[in-house]
Amino acid sequence: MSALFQSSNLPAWLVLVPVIGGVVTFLLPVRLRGGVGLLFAALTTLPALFAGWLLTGGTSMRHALGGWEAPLGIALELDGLGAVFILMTAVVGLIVSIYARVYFSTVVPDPARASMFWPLWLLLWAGLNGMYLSEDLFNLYVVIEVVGIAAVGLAVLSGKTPALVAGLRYLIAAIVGSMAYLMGVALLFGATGVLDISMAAAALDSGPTARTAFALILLGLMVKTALFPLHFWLPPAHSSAEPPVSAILSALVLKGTFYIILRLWVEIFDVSLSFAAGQIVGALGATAVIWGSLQALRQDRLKLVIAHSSVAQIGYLFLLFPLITVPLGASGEAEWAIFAWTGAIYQVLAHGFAKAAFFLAIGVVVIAFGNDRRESILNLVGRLPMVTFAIGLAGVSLIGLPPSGGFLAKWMLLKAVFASGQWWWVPFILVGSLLTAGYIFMILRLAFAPADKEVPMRKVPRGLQLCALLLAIAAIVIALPAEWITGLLQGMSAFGDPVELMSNGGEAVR
Amino acid sequence: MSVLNLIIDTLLALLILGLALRAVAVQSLYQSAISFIAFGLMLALAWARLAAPDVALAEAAIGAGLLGVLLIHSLRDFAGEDDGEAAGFAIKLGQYPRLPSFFILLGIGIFSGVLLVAVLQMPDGGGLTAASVTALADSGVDHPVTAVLLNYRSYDTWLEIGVLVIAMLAIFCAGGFEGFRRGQWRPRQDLIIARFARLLAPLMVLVAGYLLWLGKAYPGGAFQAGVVLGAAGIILQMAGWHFVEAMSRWLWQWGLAIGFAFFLFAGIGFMAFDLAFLEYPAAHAGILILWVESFATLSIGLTMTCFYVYFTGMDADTSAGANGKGGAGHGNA
Repeated sequence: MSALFQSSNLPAWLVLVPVIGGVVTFLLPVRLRGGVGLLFAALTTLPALFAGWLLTGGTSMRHALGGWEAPLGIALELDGLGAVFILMTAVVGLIVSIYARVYFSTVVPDPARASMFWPLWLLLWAGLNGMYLSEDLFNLYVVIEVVGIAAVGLAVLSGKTPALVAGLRYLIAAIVGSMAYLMGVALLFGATGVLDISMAAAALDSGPTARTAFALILLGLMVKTALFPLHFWLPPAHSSAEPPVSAILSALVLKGTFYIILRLWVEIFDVSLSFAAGQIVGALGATAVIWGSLQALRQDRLKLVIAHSSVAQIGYLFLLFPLITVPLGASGEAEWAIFAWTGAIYQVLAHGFAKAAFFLAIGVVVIAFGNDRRESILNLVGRLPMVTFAIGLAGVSLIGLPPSGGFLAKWMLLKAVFASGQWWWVPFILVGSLLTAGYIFMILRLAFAPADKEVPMRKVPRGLQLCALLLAIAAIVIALPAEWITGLLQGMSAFGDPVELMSNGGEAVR
Repeated sequence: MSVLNLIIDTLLALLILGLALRAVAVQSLYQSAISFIAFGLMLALAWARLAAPDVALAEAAIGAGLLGVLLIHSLRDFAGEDDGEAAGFAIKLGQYPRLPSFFILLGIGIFSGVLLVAVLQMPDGGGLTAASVTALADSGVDHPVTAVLLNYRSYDTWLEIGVLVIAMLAIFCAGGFEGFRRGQWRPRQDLIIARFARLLAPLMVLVAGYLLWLGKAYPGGAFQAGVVLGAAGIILQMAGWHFVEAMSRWLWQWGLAIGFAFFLFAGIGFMAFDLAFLEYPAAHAGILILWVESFATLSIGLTMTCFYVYFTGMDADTSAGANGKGGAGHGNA
């Protein structure tokens, strides 16, 4: 038995526990699915916490699936960067699962359909962990499909017409994205003869094949990560889903494909990357920040505000790429890369927690008042104080006010921008924050405004409000363990000096 | 003979391009669907010409067969139940924002040009054929493709079978459980269909079993066998033997999941003996793979049939719609 759970099997269990949960909940009768699903969600966080604890020393571990080493087989590799994403998924996932258990058992009238949430969500979770572990280009395609199709299924869980229309759009975008990715992988396999990421990186030469493969892979994953102008599918899909599903889609699913872009960018494509490539992607990110925020300001429905806000916040993530892409032939490492890395990772974490908190809070509002129109939250502070508090805290982190995780993210990005001399990103970051403040305060103003006449309110289970609050608090306090998180990133050889520098407190060691 | 081969291949390539273009450009949805089915068949031929009969079989069965049935069934919805004017339905051009076709063609042209350069300039990476043949002795099977799918890269295959389960779940989410409520066990009186099904279905089950067994040493295996089994199921359903609806909820849930679940079980089992996930001891690999494939075949076949049953069950009664009360149905045990 001990052989089964030895620590070298940890990467496999990170995928297997939620998969077993998915299969078991599917086979169980409807009334048992919620409880057992929640149990498996809790079990899934165990290997994630264990991974965080084990990797604190800055190591990595490899699991050769089927006993076949690369290039013939597929390897799972757990390293610091992956562990950070896995931990975020575990914390957000567990709290969202608790919310979903309460939500689907008290609020939703159709238990048979709602119970489908559990197998789909647990399999999606397994797919996300698979993304953070996979060392194989084709296997990444397979887990992208797992996550993509499960996400579409969850998005249409309510079965209502707007959700179905948005879900179809989402499906088409997802399929186009994975097809483009697959084409790029086919080119890479032809050119290198291997699918293992590090082996392909070693064998790949710069040239038209590498450039086309890069463009296809990047384009495909950008569609899935909803980077402007390929974000058209996101607002309707995220805003029409059930609240726990919206939280999962916005906070977690978008991060999965971002992680793949990041990983392939620094591990494979650095040979054919020019300064311009980084600038183009950065420009799209910067435009997304402004465009998404402006759209969020113009929405009447709170869920749409939050969905457009995701478009903007995802834009910040892509500002990392111009900062870590130094011109070819430039001597030495970019010293500011430490700040850029910290900024981007913190943006991932802060957006993950804050956005999940927001969607769960708006879900409570919808239960209470029957809709998510702006006017319906008048005097929210008097009627649902806990939810108002959650919205406020999550808003603080989204805007980037100290001492939140969002503050650390934007502060580090600004530092990197100045240190690198790429000052032209500054106005985008600042104006983006101002616009974010605009729509957050628009919501808070309404929440604090007195209502002329009290609309009747449905009672909302306390657990739901508490879940939203917990996530919002997480978005703030995430700034505290900064040292531990940068320590996790230390062991990644692929990310080289920048991360080493980061863990030395920014002091250059060479 | 090589000149003849070249002519055949060129014609096939042009035909595929032409059919693809027609499927997109033609006004009538019905003709578009037919072109798409023909496109799938020609693509299958192309795979056969590329000496990949296993891919060809899957492409023909899924790309042309299953998709064709589903497409044509969906078209019925557009035309309405009784007027039979399916062929007359066309997309209203004003309904969708459309770029002028010149720009579309320009875009396709540039994209194809870039891809062509990328492929022509591709350095020869070598590939893994030699390595996969060398390792065959330890894989438990004699055919390199089967070894790749069910041993070297079985993790991918396992997850792909999982994707089928997920797709079925997603379809339940989109449509509720109404799709499984209709239809009784009532064989059609129609002589031709009934005879046809009686003749064909057992034969196809036999072929599926043969393909499954063949996979050990020749092109074939679980996916091909599963697809053929699924086709047999669809033919039975069409002839009125509604066996899917007759199955208990418990039975079809296990049927859908058993391929994925047994694969998982076989993979975890040997982890207790210090092996990796999905690692089989070389001595037992052959028989284990056969078991894994057998269950996968069952699940794949049932999933294909369920896709069909579900969609045709849905539109048998359009008035109920997709948004009805899904609470009753099969889901409530």
